[in-house]
Amino acid sequence: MANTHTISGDVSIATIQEVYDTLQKQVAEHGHIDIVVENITGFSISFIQLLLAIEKSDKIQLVKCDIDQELLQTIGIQNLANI
Amino acid sequence: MENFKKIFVEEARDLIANLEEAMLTLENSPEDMEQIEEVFRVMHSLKGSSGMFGFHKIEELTHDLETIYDLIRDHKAVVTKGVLNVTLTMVDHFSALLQDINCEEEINKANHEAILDQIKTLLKEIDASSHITDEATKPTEEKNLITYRIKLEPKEDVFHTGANPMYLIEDLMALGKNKTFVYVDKVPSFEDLSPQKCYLYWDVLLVSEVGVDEIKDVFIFVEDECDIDVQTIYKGDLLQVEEVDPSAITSREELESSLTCLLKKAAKLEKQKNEEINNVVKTSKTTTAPSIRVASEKLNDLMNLVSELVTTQAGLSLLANKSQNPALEVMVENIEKLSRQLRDITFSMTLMPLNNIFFRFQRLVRDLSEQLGKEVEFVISGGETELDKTIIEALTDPLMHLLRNCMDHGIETPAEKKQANKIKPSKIILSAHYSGANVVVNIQDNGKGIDPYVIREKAIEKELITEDESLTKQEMINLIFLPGFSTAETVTDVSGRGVGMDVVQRNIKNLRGEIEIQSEKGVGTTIQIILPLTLSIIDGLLVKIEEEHFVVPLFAVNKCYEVPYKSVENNFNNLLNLDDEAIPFLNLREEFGVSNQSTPEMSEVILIYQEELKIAICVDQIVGQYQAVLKPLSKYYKDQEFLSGATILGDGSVALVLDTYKIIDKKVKQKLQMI
Repeated sequence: MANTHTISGDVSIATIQEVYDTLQKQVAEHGHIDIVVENITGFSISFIQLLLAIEKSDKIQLVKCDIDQELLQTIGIQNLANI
Repeated sequence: MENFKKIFVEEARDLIANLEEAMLTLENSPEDMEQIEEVFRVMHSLKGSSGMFGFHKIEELTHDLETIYDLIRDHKAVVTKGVLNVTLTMVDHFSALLQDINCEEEINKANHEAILDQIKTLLKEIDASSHITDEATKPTEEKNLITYRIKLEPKEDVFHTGANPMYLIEDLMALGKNKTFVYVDKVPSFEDLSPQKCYLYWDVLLVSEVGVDEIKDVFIFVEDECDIDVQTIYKGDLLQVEEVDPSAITSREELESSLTCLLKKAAKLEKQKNEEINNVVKTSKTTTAPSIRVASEKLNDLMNLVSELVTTQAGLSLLANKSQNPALEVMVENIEKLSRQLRDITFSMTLMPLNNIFFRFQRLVRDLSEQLGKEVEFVISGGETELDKTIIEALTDPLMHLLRNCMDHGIETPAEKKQANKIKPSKIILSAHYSGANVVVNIQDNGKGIDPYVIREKAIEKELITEDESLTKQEMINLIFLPGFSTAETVTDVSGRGVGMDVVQRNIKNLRGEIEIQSEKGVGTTIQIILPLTLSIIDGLLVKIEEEHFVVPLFAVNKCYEVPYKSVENNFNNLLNLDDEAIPFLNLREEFGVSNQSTPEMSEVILIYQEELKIAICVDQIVGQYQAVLKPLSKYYKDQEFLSGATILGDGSVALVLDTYKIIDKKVKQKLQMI
C-alpha cells in the first residue's frame, strides 16, 4: 500500500521549493506515494505547475485535489488529474 | 412645443399599441427574436422621444425595462411570465402617464413605484441566474466590440521579480468577455521540475470595447519579464459565433486552426445578416408607401363633403338629361366619373383593419383568463379585414362585452371541464371575413354552450315570458337579447350585471348590423355579427314601382330578367322559373302596399343573392345605376325590416334603400323551412 502524503497550508511561490523538496524526499524514501491536496492557502501558478508535473510522474499519484475550481479556470486549467 | 407634445402623445399611443401587440405575440412564442427586437425597438423609441418631450417618468421606466430586453436579446435572460406581466402592466401605466406627465395622481404614483420595484426584482433574478456583469447590462448599441488575441508568455524567471501571471489574466478578464487557453507542454516531469520557474504560457481571447493601448497597460510593469503580443482578430464578438472549449485546445497550432474556422463562420454569418438587412430595406422600400397623420375629424368632414357632392352631382345629371345638351351631358358624365373616384378614395381612407381592435381583445382574454383561472387559447383570424372606422369604433364595446360573457359564462373552469370529460383545450376564435358588401365577425367558443331550457326558465322567472308560451330552441336562446336578462348566479365584475346582450344587440342594429347566436349545450357557442362595410355611400340599382323609387345595393345583384306581370301576380307558390331554376320572389308592389291600379304588362325581376341563397325582387322599372348616400330612416320606419336607409335623389325626392341581407334572411329561410 502506497504512502499518502497530504499537501496543505501555504503553497505560494515563497514555499513551493520547500513543498517540492518534501515530496522528492518522500518519493526517494518510499518509491511511490499518493498525494492528497486539501486546505491549501496562497494558491500560485508554481503550485499548479507542480501538480501538472506530478501528473506526468509514474511515482506519484494525485488521489485527491481540493482546489478552488474558479481559480483553476482563471488560468485556463479546466480539469486537473480528472479529479 | 405643445403641438409637438400632442404629436408625441399620438405617436406614443401607436408605439404603446405596437408594444402590447408584440408582447401578446411574445407570450405565445417567447423565443421569437423578431418580437423581442420589436419590443426593444419600441422601448428605445419611447425612451428617446419621451425624454425629449419631458415625459421623464416614461423615460425612467423604459430605460430600466430596456435593460432587461437587451439581456434577453443577448441570450443572457429569457422571456418569463414575470417579464411579460411587468411589461404589460407598464403598457397600461404608460397610457396613464401620457395624461399625467409628472405622475402626480396617487394611483399612478403607486403604480409607478410598484413597477420600478418589479423591474428591480426581475433584474436581481436575472443577475442571480446569469452572473451578469455591469458590462453586459449596457445596451448593445453603446458597444463597439472588438475581439483580441493576447499572447502571454512569461519568461522562466518571472516569479523572481514578484510578478504573478495569474493577476495579469485576472486584469484582462475585467476588460470583457474572455476565454483563456493555457499551454502546459513546457512543464517538465516531476523529477526535472524547478518549482520557481514558470513553464506555463497563455493565449487569451478577449471581447471588449477597449483599445489595444488599454490592454497593453495591463502588462506595463512586466514588459521585460513577459513576451506579450496583442492582436485585433475580429471587429465584433467572435465568441458569440460559436462556443470554443478551452479544454479541447492543447497547443497554439490547435487554437490557430480553430480561430481560422471561427473567423470563416463569422464572415459567413455577417454576410447573411447583411443580406437580410438589405432585403428588409428593399422590401420596406418597395412596400411601404409614405404616410401622413390626419385628424379623424378632417376625414369625417371630407366624407360628408363627398356625400354632398354625390347628391349634388345626381341633381346635375338629372338637369343635364333634361337639357338635351350633348356637351353638358358629356361634362356631367366626366364629373360623375371623377366624383365616383373621389368617393372610392375617400371611402378607402376611412377603412381600418379589424386587427386594430382585435389585438386589444387578446389582452382582455389574457387578463380574464388569469383572473378567472380558466386556461383558454385565443385565436384571431381575418384581422386584416377592413371596416369603416366609425363602425370599428362603435363595435369595440359590443365585442368586448361578448368576449367577457364568453369567458365568464361560456368557457369552463378546469373542474367543470373535468366533470364534463372535456379534454380538448378551451378555445375562443375571433374571426372576420367579407361577405358581399358586408363584413361578418364571429366569436366562436368550445365552452359549455347555452342550455335553451335554462334560458326559458330564467325568462319565466323574471316574467319576461309566460309559462304557456311555446318557443323553438332558437327562440329560447334569443331570449337573452331581452332587456334585463341575466342568468349569472352572482353578479361578477366580469359580466352578469343584468344588462348587456340587449345593449349589444341595439348597438349592432344602430350600425345597420345583425347579431345571431348559434349554440349547442356542451359543445359551444357561435355569435355572428353581420355589418355593412360602410355607413355612408353605396353603389345601387335605382328601381321604380309606380312613382316610388327604391335602391337595391349593387353588390347583391346577380342578374336582371323581364317576366309578364301576370306570372308574378297569379303565382300561388311564390316561385319564379328563372334560367330553369325555381327561385322564390318578393313582389315589392305587394310588400310595400303600392296600389294595383296601374300594374305594368311586364315586370322587371332582379335576382339578388347572399352566399348560396337567392331571391328575386319584382319591380315595375329598372332606372339604372345610382350612387346612394345613405341617410338613416326616421323612427316611423323602425318596424320596416326590409329597409336599411334612405337616399336623396337628384330631384330632391327620397328613395328607400332595400336591406337585401334581411330580405334573403327572412324570405328565403322562411321558404326553405316551408319546403
